[in-house]
Amino acid sequence: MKNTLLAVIIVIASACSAQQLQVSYVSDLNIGSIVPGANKYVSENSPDAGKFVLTGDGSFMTVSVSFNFSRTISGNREEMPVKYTASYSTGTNNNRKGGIFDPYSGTTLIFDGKTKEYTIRLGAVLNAAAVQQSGVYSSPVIIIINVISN
Amino acid sequence: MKKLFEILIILLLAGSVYAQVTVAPVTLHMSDADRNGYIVVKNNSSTTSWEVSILMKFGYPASDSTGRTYIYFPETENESDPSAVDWISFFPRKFILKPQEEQTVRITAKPKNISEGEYWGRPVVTSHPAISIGDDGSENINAGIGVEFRTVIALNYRKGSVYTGIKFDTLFAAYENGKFIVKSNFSREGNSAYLGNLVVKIFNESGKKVKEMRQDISVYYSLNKSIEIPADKLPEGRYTVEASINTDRDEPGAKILKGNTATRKIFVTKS
Repeated sequence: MKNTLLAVIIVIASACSAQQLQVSYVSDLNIGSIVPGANKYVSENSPDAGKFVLTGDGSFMTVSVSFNFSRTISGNREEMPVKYTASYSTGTNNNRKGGIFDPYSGTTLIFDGKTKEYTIRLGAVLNAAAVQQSGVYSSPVIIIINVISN
Repeated sequence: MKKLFEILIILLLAGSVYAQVTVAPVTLHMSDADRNGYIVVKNNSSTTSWEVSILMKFGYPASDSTGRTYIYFPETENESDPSAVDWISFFPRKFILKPQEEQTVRITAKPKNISEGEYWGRPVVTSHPAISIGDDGSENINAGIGVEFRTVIALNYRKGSVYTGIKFDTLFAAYENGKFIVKSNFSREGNSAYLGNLVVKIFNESGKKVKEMRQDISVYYSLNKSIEIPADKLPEGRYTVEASINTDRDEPGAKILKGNTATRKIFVTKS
């Protein structure tokens, strides 16, 4: 019985002390209204930008953040070109403007005891055709977080 | 008159504020004496279920000519690649996490006839919301982007006698646009990855340390590393840039192999 109890305690202690990485989705990328045939730009630093947060545990850790985007968002029978923009900043302050990076190349983030959180923001440029069909348009975005310090 | 279209790009899913997924640990060290491990995946969201799947690929940190580090995943594995992919298994590999739930994924190593050394893999934890966005049938255009998170962590398996070392090949430093640009090149020695720190210190002409920066570094074969240290407030003069690589990491839960420390110095003039 003692042995069993000891094993359980060791497992829990190990899980608590391990390095961890949390990904939080915070807000939608809201394009709002657009005029067909015109470009619509939502800045990566605007309140309408899509936002997510990476959180470390205070230990040293380096991660690369990259994205797999489609060049278009697709409706039932049509597609709409889209180009994404991105920025990052430390912490979770909604009003802080971030440093711009190319989301098609990605960026590297360094976590330590002082910097435990990064906010990543995504903006977009869309161009609806002059005759754009109504409907639901969607496109997958894959966010890849690679731990590169180990 | 042109018609206005309402477009909403939904990064993840509507109404799911602060959906969160946690993966721990981010590094797994296994060995002949410790063939079982685990990953904990937790859904911290209070409203959203997540579908999670795990696979492992062979890959390791590499760098480009600018000193940017990335994970290199060879398209095909060679026999000489120290890959652990074929004999490491995960259970469960696929599961749904309801809000606030967590799942322990058990990892088992069953190596067969491998020689001494270290074997590598990169577990990829893929998670996405377990619901989809449907057509609302309205006249508006609604645009949705289904988001998927892929958290790629490290796994090393050690068999028998393992050892690591580092060779500090080159050091270059210059002062440009208010920053010291420090570029280093390393080659690994031994039969295991060198996981350590790169510490860069800058001394002024009187020998006083005026800047210091530390970054984690992992050298699996060879690596170019570039570090920028802001120094626009330093006065003009001649500085000594000292770069040192060591294995003195304090990493919770990790088993870091000890290796040698290598140091190089170079003089830089800020004018």
